[in-house]
Amino acid sequence: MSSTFFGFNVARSGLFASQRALNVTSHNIANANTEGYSRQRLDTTQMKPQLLPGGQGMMGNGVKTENISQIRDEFLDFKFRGENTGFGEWESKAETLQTIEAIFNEPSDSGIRTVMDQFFSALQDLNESPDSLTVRALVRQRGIALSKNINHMASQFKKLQADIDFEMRTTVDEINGYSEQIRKLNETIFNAELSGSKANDLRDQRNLLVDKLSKHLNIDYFEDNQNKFHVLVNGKTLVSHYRNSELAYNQRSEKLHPDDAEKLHDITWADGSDFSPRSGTLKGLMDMKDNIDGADKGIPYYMERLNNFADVLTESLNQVHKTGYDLDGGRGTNLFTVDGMSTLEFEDYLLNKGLEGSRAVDVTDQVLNGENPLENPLYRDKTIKLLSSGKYIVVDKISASRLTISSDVDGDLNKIAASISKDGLPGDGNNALKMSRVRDNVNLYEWGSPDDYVKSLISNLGVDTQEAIRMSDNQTVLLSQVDSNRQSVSGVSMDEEMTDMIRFQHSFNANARMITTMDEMIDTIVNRLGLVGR
Amino acid sequence: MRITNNMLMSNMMRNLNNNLRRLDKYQTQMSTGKRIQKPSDDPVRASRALRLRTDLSRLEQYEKNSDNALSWIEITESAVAEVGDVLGRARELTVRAATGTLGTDDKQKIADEMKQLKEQLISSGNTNYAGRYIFSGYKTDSQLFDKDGNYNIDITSSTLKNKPTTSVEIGVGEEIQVSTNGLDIFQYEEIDTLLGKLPFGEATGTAATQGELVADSAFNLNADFSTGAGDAEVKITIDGNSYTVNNTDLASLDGTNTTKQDIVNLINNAENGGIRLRDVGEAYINIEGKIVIQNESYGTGSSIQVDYIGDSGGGLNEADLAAAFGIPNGSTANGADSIETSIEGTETFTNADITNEAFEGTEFIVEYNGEEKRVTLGPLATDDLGGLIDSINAALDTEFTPGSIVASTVDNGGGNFSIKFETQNSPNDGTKPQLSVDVVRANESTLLKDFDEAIASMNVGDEGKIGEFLGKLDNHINRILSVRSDIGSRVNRMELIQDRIGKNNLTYTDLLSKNEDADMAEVIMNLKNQENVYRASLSAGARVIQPTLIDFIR
Repeated sequence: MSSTFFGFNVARSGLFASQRALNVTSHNIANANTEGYSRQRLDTTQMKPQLLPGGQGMMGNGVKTENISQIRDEFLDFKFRGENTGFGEWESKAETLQTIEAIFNEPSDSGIRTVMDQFFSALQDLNESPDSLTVRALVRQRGIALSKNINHMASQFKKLQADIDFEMRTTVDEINGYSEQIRKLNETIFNAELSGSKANDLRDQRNLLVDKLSKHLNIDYFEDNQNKFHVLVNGKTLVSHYRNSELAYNQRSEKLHPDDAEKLHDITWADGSDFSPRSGTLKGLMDMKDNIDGADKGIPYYMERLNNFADVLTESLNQVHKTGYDLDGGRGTNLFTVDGMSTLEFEDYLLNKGLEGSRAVDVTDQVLNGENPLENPLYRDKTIKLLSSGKYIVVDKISASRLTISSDVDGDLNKIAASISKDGLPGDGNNALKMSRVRDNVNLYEWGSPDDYVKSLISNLGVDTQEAIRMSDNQTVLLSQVDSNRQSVSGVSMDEEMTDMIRFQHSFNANARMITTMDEMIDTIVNRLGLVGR
Repeated sequence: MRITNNMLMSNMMRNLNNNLRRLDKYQTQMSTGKRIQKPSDDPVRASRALRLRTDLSRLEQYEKNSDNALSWIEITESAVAEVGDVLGRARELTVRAATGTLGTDDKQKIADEMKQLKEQLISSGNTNYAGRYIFSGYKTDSQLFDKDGNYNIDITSSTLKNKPTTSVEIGVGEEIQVSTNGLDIFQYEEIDTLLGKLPFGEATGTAATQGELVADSAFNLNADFSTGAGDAEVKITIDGNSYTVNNTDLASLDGTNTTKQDIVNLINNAENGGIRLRDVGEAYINIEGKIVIQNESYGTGSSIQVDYIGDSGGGLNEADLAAAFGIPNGSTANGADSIETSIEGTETFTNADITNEAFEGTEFIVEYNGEEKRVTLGPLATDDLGGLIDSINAALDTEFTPGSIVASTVDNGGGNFSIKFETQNSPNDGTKPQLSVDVVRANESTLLKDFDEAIASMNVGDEGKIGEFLGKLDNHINRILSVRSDIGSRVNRMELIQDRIGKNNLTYTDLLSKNEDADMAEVIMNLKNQENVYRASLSAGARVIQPTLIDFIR
């Protein structure tokens, strides 16, 4: 025989459970637009039943709220983070490469191709009127325009490199911020969960941080069997439960490539050990900043190509120019030098400071014997220049950022050596014609003539950029696909919550109704029972 | 699959964005009229665009070149035609003057007109185009003739060898000759054919070098001199003076932090009675890490020697020092003197050829180490090679430092000698001995000289001479005709080329446009289509995101 008031207890448990479920629903609705929020559910179960004596069975005791759980698919999280890393890398590459495209500014009517065209056209005009000062001034102006254009591109590359360096440092700061926050959340979550319940909302916050981190770095993460959470990068711990390691950036003491921007930084772990991410924004930025070759070639590659372009073109123009005679009957000087030097200063500079800041190596004998001194591994990426004295020396390629027209020509139009012989002055323009032929020399570069070189460089850049954009687009599609799946599992559906709301409201009402019914029953028992004959 | 409100929202936003992006692409194509904006839009098309633009700009240059060349050739053509007309008139006059019926008076009148015709020839020879004298070869700033009809420019052996002509490029690697040399029209009268045998040309010798001692192996930066240096000495002898490396400095190098600069300083600071090694030479370390010591002076006298003296206390010995420095004890190096240069004639003379008459007054244009002088021969003491050489040397010595350029004979056997110019005692200062010699071969035009003779013979009424002139004149007229036909054929070629350039220009412009210009009809269609898609997605989106269950709960 059960107690009179037993029914109240059952109804009350239902009342409480419905109320709690409504609160959970309300929490879901409130957080419907919170980033990283996963919907929550109240898990309920039957209370332990009462055993009725005499094999009459079990009597239900009402409902018990078991747990508030969140609905989340960790496999989808894992997939999302993997794709996010790739997305971060390609996105940063695509952005940088598009900036490089803008620096080259081709195809257009104001890029390097156009100024080169104009320079060579001016030389053709000079061939026709070698004695005209107007045409000589034109050649000088076109030469200046060519060198300035190359300088400008080089300085833009440097600026881009410095910008990317800054972005990289900001990213490192961001990563350090995330790892610090994850560490703090680890503490809070671990303490909160000591009782055995899940800290759902805090876990959502932590998961969101890991999502963000995964864009910048290739991370591995796991929660061990003691519920301690760890984040690893390349097997080294970034966050390990209550501890986190930081990344640091240190200003380089020595440039990686001679033409790099000033004050670039390297990223290491704070303890000084090497750090090289395999993917993510940081990898994309580092590749773009530092890689001179390979599939991930970045700004240094284009700088090197530009240097090579400027060096070979100006050196061959200089050599032709030097074989000619200027209007005053003197031997041709250099047409192009660096930093506005005169030919004399330039050759002196090459001789004394031209090879990695020190003496150039005289290889005249080897060159005259038909050997190629550049085969010496010591002289990788170097070039051979012929001085007016007839010496061949090994020096660095001249830097595109320093290229200028020589001060001889800049100061005196007569110094342009248009004539091929001294007797030919002033009407012989054959040397100018010979200079203009430099553009038809298909053996000038490994990519052919100067025009071919620009064309190859631009189409290489185009292909690389196209690939980066395509990869970035693909990653976006993949990422949104996975995110969609995640939203499908964890996202809050208003329709569903409304249905739940009504469901729980009804359930609450029904339980309340039960209490009323009980009340009426007791009323009957207390007030109406046993009045027979009254 | 569960669909949540946020999914709907983000999907819709993404799709709207994609639609807008496509709309933007067509919009950009429409407003720029270009199919590609960046190389990454289509790398192949972009590189083709670069090539076509280059081709087009070159065509424009060729067009400009050919226009200029054509006007130059046309000016030349009319000047040569003028010469032809003058010669035609001269022929008429000469034929008249050659008839015996004309009196001396009349012949003199004809001579007067001939004089005028000669003036006309001179002025034709001095025709200029845009301020440049077209017949003067490369001397475009000088008239071809002076007022007497003598050549105003030097007709030397080298100009006769390579008649200067100007060419312009009218296609890749394709040139056309623009100018016509005045010598082909007016011809020249050799002063003496023997002058053609005199040597001419340019030659350059080899510069003197500095003494330079390169170590056999790299300097050992880890070498420790801090113990056992004692009174060990490193002596570098330059041009006979010994410079001793400072012993204290040497002992300060303990091999731990030694830099290349330390070594360079150590050697450059080696001292001899207050004079440092760096004052007379220079030491540096090359890219292979080897010490290089260079003497400042040039020539065989420029010497360097390195010696070591071991520590008397038994510390570092000579071999230790030699191993550390990478230079064996007693190594020496010397510079080399400059190598003189010479110009030798290819033609030979015999003693019998030489006459004072042929060579006196001959002008040489000599340039020695950048200094150009005109050298005129005085009379020959004897009419033989010795006399000629003496006269040349005497003339050279008056213009240049005596003994710096010396002419001599080279015996080719059989009484044949060639003449050789040679530089001597060139300075050992790192500059190359350089010599160029040229001989003035003519200063009169054959055509004008013939005219002068004709005028003289008309003045005296010498009909025989006038008749001779008629023959010469016919030759001149024939030559002018051949020059004119040469020019005419060039004009024809130029016209063909211009036609071709024009057609190519059209083709390339067309190709360029096809390559990179947007097809407007297609773009507009795409744009409208995309606009519709965008509108549709907007309206569909607006429907989808609005209603939720909330709207229907009372």
